[in-house]
Amino acid sequence: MTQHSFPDIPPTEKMAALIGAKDWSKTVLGAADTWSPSLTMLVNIIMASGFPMAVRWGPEFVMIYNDGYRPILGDKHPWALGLPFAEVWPEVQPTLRPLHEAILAGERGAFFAEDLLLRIQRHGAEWEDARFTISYSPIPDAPAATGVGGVLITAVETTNRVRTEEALRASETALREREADLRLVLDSATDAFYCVDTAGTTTMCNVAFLRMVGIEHEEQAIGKSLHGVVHHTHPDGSHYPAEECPIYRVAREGGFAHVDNEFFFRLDGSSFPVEYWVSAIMRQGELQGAVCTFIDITERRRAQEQQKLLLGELSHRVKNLFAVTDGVISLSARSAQTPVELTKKIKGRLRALALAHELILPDLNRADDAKPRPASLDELLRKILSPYADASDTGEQCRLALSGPEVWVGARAMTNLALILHEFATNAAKYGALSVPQGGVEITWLERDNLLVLKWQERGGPTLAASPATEGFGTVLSSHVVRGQFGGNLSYHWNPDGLMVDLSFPVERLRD
Amino acid sequence: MLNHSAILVVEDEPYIALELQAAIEEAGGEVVGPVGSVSAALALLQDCVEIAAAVLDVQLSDREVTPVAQALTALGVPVVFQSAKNLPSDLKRHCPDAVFYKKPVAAEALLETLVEMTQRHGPSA
Repeated sequence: MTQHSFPDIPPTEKMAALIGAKDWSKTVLGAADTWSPSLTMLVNIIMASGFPMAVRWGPEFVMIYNDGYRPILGDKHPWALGLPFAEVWPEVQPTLRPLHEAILAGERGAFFAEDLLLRIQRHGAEWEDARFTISYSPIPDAPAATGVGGVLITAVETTNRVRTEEALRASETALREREADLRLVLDSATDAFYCVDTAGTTTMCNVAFLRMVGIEHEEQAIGKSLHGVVHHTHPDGSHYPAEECPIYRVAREGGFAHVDNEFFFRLDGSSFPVEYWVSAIMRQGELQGAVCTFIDITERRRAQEQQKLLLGELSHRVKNLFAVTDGVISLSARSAQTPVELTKKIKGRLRALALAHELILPDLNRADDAKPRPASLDELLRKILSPYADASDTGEQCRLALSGPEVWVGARAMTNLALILHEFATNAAKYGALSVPQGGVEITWLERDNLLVLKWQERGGPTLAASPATEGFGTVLSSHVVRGQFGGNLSYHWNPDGLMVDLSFPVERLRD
Repeated sequence: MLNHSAILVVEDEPYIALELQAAIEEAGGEVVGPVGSVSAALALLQDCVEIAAAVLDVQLSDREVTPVAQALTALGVPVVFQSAKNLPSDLKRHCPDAVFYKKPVAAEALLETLVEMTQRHGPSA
């Protein structure tokens, strides 16, 4: 409908000509020259109006309408001209007829309704929901019994306007819902983010941001420049001027920034290491500011520190191991007569060290603890002596008898104990009870007066005549470990039925 | 070479300690120790042995060797450190003249240093 606007007022001649040409004598109104002066005047008035207007005259509300009203009729024009209201608009009679009759009867005055919804048929059989802002006024007419000759209709169709408004409202609602959804997503994100304009003023932030920097309400952040609050200090403790801030630089100049070696500060003054990414916000080629997303990397830093510690510990142990190996080789070379003997000695001692190392190996699945774990004395003895445990010819006789309470041994003590037990065992295998199939060793230990007391008793070996003339290396090493390292005592008894070694040292040295 | 100089050896790895002892004895020195702990080393110093030089491991079984190093420095005894780790800064401060070797150490270099030290600081000098 374009008839609403002034420049488009249709030439009144179209309807005026139709009305002039019509043979009204064949209608209930009778010939035009017999009409009441009120009707004639009203028809002339509405013909000159740009608004959609109509007259419904007499008890049958015969319709005369102007050019503006024509589109409202749809296909019913021009058939509707001069026909009774009920014939033209049967579909609206239940709604509008009583109103017309009341006006005609003088029972009520004018009627006005905005966007009145009417279900009508004006294009063939098709039903449509149309809306009209309508005004019905009584037309004064002296000859009529009630003084009212008909109803003057002004009807502006608002179907499209209402539809547009409804669509607009729906899209506004959808937009609001979408905005709320987006907000929910941003606030549900684990990563913190905030946006700044080109001047560095915060324009937007999410809940993770507020939580991470310890700001309670969004209003405390929005509209403010936060560098001085959350980003004011370099990792070295020096002042961090806002002009140097990569976030503000990107907001000011565009581009991108990625930083993972700085700290953000909470309102309470505490700080945390962050990794952040800054991207320029462009709208149609124009820089609007920047968005900064960041994560708290405290845990990652801790893991890196832990890794550094582990590597340091590992490096220390490897170097130490080389030093010990160097000692093993040099010392073994001092007593070995042949390369074969040297090789055997070195291999045996390295094996003892390796076994001790394996026992105290830290649990690598628990990366938070690089420290060696304690292991039991019983376990150590079994490992060290395992090459001799089933060397018996019969395969049934148990050559090794171990008995004692559970004793936990620390890393250093474990290595030292492994070394001397290895020397005891190799000595027994070469000269003592383990050199013959029927021989065996009984090892017993107990804790007494804060001392660990351990007895090594060989039986069933070759009969010993006396103690050896010279001190072997094993004896030197054992003596050094027990006295020099453990601060304890060691005694050898070369009994005829087999060697017995008594050793004792403070229990606390076991924990080392 | 070492002319019966008394060399204190503080080292908690038995093989390293015993090898050091053998090497020093081969070079004509006399070993005090070897011991593997701060408490044992301090106990040896209490016995008032005349010590010409000392070889100290840094991280011992019970703790860092610092108290031993301090006591030796107070007595004017020259010190050689050997460690798999870097020398802690407080040890450097306490013993500015000490020589530091990182493990593993070549026995020859260590002996050479000990000879120099005993000739410079020994009773005959």
